[in-house]
Amino acid sequence: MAGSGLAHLQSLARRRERAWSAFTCVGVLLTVSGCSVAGADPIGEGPDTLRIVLPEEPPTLEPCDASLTATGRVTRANITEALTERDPSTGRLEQALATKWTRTSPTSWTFTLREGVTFHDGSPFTAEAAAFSIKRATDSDIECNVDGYIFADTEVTAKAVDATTLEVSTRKPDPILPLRLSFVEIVPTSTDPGARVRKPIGTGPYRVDEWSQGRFLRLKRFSGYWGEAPDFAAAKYVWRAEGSVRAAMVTNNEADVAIGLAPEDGAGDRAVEYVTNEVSYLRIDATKAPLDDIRIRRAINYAIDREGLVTAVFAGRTSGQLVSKGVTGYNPRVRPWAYDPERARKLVAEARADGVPTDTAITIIGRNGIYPKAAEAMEVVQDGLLKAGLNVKIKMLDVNAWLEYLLRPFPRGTGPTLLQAQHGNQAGDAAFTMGQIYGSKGAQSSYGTRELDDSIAKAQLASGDERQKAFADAFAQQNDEVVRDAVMANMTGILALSPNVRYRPDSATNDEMRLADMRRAD
Amino acid sequence: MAQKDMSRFRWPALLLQDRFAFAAALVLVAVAVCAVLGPLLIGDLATRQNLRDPGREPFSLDHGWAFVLGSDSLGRPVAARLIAAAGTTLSVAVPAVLCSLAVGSVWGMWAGYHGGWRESVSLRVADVILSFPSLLLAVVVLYVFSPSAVGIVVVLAVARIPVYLRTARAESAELRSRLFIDAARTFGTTGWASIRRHVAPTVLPTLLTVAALDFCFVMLTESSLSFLGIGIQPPDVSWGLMVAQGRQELQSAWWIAVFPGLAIVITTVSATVLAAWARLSTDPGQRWRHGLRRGGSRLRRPRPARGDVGPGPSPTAESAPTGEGPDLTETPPPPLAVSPAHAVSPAQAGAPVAGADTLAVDGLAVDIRTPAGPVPVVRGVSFAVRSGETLALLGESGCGKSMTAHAVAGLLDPAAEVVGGQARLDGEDVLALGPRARRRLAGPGLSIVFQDALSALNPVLTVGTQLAEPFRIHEGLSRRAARARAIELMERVGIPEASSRAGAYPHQFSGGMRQRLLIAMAVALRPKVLLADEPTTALDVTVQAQIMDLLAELRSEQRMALVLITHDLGLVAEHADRVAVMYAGTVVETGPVTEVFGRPNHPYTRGLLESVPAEQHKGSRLDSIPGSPPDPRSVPTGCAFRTRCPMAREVCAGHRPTLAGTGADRAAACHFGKELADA
Amino acid sequence: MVTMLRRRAVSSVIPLLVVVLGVFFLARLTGDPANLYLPLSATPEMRAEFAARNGFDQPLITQFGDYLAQVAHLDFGESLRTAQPAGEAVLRAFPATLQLAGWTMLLAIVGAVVIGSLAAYRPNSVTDRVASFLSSTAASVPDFWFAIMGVLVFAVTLGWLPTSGTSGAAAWVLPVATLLIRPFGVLVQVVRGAMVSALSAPYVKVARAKGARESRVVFGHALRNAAAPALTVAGDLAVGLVNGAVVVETIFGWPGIGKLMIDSVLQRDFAVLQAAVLLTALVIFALNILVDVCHALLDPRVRQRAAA
Repeated sequence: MAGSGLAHLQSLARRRERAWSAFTCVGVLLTVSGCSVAGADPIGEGPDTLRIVLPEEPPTLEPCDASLTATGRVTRANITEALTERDPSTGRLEQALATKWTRTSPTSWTFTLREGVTFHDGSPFTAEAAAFSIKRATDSDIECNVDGYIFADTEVTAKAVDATTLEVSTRKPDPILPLRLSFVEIVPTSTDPGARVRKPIGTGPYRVDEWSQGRFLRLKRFSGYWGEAPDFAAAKYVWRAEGSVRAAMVTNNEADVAIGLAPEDGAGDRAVEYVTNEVSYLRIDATKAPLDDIRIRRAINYAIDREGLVTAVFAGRTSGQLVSKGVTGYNPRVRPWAYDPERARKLVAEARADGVPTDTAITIIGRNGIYPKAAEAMEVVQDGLLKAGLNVKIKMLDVNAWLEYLLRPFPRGTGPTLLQAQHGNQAGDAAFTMGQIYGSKGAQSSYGTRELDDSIAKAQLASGDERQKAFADAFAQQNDEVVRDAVMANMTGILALSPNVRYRPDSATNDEMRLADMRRAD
Repeated sequence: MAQKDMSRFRWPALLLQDRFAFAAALVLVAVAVCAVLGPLLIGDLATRQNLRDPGREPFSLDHGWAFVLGSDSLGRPVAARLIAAAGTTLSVAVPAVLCSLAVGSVWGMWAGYHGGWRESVSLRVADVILSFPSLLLAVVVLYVFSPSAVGIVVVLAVARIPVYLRTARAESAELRSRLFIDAARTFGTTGWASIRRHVAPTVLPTLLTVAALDFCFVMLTESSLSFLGIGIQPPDVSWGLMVAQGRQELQSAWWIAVFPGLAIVITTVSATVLAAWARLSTDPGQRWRHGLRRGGSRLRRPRPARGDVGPGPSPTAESAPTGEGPDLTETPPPPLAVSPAHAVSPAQAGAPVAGADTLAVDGLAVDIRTPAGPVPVVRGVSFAVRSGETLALLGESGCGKSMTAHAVAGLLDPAAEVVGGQARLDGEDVLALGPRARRRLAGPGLSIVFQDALSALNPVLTVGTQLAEPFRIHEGLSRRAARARAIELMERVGIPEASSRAGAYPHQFSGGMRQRLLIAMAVALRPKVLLADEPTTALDVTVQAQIMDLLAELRSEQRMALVLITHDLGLVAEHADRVAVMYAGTVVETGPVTEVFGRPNHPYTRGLLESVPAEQHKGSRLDSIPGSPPDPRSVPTGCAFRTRCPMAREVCAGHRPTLAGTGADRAAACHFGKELADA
Repeated sequence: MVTMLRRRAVSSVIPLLVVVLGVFFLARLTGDPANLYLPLSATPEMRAEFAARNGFDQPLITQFGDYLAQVAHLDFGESLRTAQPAGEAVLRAFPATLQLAGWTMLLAIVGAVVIGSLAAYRPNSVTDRVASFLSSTAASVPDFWFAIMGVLVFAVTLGWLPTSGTSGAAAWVLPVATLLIRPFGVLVQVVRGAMVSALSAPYVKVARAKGARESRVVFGHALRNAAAPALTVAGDLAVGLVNGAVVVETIFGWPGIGKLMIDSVLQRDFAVLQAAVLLTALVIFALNILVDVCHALLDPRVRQRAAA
């Protein structure tokens, strides 16, 4: 055996010349296969195609996961539509696939549906399809993201009365059901009820043309769309993780729209700023000393240089509450805390004099990439708190590790923590903020009070102006009496726009980017 | 050992001689100083934020020295942060590199030294670590044990162990297959001792180079970890963290990422330069570039690969047991049972042809360039040889005889240089020819046989290919035709089964057969002059005789002029027509062998001859000549031999004797040559 | 040769199993992925259901056994993130990285041989100093910095190349250059070192004594002998390209395995991570065997030892 192996080796060595030809072959093969990769990107990007660059590829296009930011900004109002839609500038609920809705009892609503709407596969849109979609999103094995995010504690049943009339009822009274339904994307009854779909069919102005995973996603204009036809015949999404590369693609005319930029990414005069619904804040773990002392929590608020943060670290406007203007419950009287290091120092000294263990190490739990320069932001906070006389360390984590600190049950034996967090109320109603974040049993809540719980419960059942006032009062109460947070800023979004495209981003752009609103500039 | 201590002592001096290495050392010292004294120097400057006026431009002293490299996005001075970061960076990089170097190299040497299952298991472990995504390991370790400098060090060290392991194993496995470890084994040295004594010194220079490059790998990986947020935790700062954070601002504030990046680059380049320098000065094969006193190339070599390239072996080298240099004293008993007067050798049967000299070397001088200036190693050598005649260049190792041959053949190392003289081949000065003309002569005009046939044959080419090469180069034969000629040649020099063995490789032949192959290659094109540089030193006595007979046959058959370079008097007596005795880079006596050996006209020649009948066991010295040959850098004034000469007088110190005729066809370079001749 | 290949293949099975085992358990040390995949307000029941559906409620040993049984049937499980078969995702991403790495190594080896030989030809000459300086600089430039600078200079400022993407030959330039820079720098130094020793070997003098041209001396005689150490290092560098690929693929939007792997680590997408590691480990083992075969082809002494 060994001998034959040796002979074989020697004969191989003699064929050394052939090694060179093999070398050449490798080169040729690489070239050919290189072309095949290059060729996988279709060239047909004429002026009719809108080119959009995202920070990440959507993990799925499943319509009932549309509340995931990465999925929703591609699918919502582009591929699929819901019964209602919220106008982010006014906060009003507008018609979409439903033209009219009335509350027929505290627990049930009747929707009148739009006529003459067809799905991308040619089938007509009916109340049947709407009922199917609601059931699929809220009560199926797929574990829709929408189900947990929007309908966490609500049980919904939908029934088609006739072709254009839908009756939806809930077990408990729900004054904002039509708003919740703006997250349920309508799919035809032919959709698989038991599995996520890869290529969704909807009623939107664009249909999925080709999704080459890892490379691009291309949508084509749907000729049978019920509404006004959009300007661009096709849209092509690509994704680049690095902000400066996304910006460069627009300046280099490789893309028309780039989103998720930071001020330093260099979009230059292509940059368009807009107010988002995202608010950055630090959650204070008020159950552990020294953070259980309200003076320390106030001191933390005074010690953070919010103006400095929005000048030097990220783009935003300083803020004092977790929801942005336009959301039901926003309280214009809750102002951002002033930067007052002197007062912070005094408060800490006072607490120390009263025996509060201010020397205990407080850990800032940060999350990388939660917004641009996340670690630097925490360095600013740390600097301020150190100056106020507290003992603070930073621990930056990746998303999953960070989530362990964000959600109940919290990790044990960690000592007092401050959690770097950001909250975006996409739905436009403080109900989606208050219970989860400030309720003493909320999934993301580290601390709450009975009084605040009561205020929240009351507000959730109210409607109209009363609802607005109740939530606004709850925010004020939190800010004055509980001080569970150090809210930093309402974040400003930046996108880059090529001169060929007209588009006015709004606070919902990060979650829902309407291609139909993007117009040719000429 | 004394040698080693001495070389350590000379390090700083050697470092000063290499400007690049010196600059690199300075940089590293500066970085180390920053790392140690940084905190004292800068206080809290590195963490003092200024959010109202961030991103100050660099190269301005308006805000104090700390801002000379600008400030970052939080308004902290970049220069101060660079200094503060040096400590953190080094405290991660240095332990990580040292850990992986220590563990990997010891493990690898152990595996390579022992071979067998230890080797294969170690290699598979290395495979596992290498094919494991180190990033996953980093995330896990830093997730489970929370991000810390210690965690980073552990992850990086583990990830790099296989690289050292594999390098060390490969090198030590190769060493294992060589002779001297086997010898060490038979002497009963234990494994670890052998590894420490024999393997480590040879393997470490390579590993050091790898480590220098790894230094940068570790800094860059730490940077990537910072980029993922699991690296150094703020407010601590490392260069990697600075680059990772500053990259976001490349367009608006380039200096934030560029300066720490430069710091990484400069530190790494310095480490690499210094490692390359250290390697050069510890590699025995390269050491002659730095200084001559530090021993000839043979010191640690298992075999005297390049003869006398490194001149002037220090005294310690000669007494070292591992030194196998071709010293006179270490030669096996030569077949010189015959008295020097014993006249006729078989070679002399083909009597010298009267007529012009085929090769005439005249006043040849060669210098070696050293950092301390040129050192003359061949000083005005003259000799001549006719076709069909054998001239022996006789001398102790280090006397410049091989250097002379290499100079004539045009094969000097880059550091050596011909600075004077001529070498006329049929009247044409080959030293004055251009490279192309010289190449045309190499083979048909001048040819050379080296002493160590194993290293003189290319190990990765078949002997057939190597033997065919002269025909392909000079006669433009096809591959097939050249091969046929090569096989003929192999048959001619007495290789059995030539046609089948042409496809074999040098290591598959015995020492004597290899030397035959080498001779065959040299005579392939029937050269006019064949220079044979110690052609039989590495062979045992019976094979020696066969090889010399072969050379003699070929000489008379092809009417070549043969220049036999040797230290072996017996060989000279038996095979040479004429002899030129060399000492300290010059010819001290020439003449017909019988006459010179019968009646030496130079005290050195006489000393040599007197030493022959004396005791011949290994390690003995030339009893009749006290002292040792001079170092080429400190050759005595006047007569180079005077310090060892029993006849030395005042005149010897003042005047250098020239080669002067002392009789018919005889000459000697001695003030008393005539006296000796007449005595 | 066949014997050697078979022996190496067999001896690789256990290390491969160790890799799989290591990834499997290490991945599970990084925490429960439920938080990432369930809504923030998920109830304990939803969590339990999630764990049950993905088998996370079983003891680790059972999970591993099930996984091995699946893998034996070439079923690598389903991605948590995309709900698609993990094997498909990995196979889709792999060719892109392989081509990138292939081109990179080809260029790095050819370039390093040329420049390293030039530098070694006259040690300590100006060429040598410049080559050594540039190569050690190249080996120590942070790759993500190099990549972003490349985009800014060649795409934004000069407009010669596209910023990113995979369409067209020009799009390959920056990714390959970024991936190339470190292996190239290291290889130049290795080739130089090996060539310096090879060029001072006696057989090189013998070749010159035969009247061989310098090109024949350098490439015909010295290079073959210098190739062995360079080959070993090139093999290690090729393996290391997976790490470099993470950066390149992230910045240039290259749909390869490096990005997939880091994403699956960060997303705790265990099935994809395991499949990706298994496949890269397979390729790395194959590469190691290839390196050994090349050694044997280059050096008859190795061949003899391998056959013995």
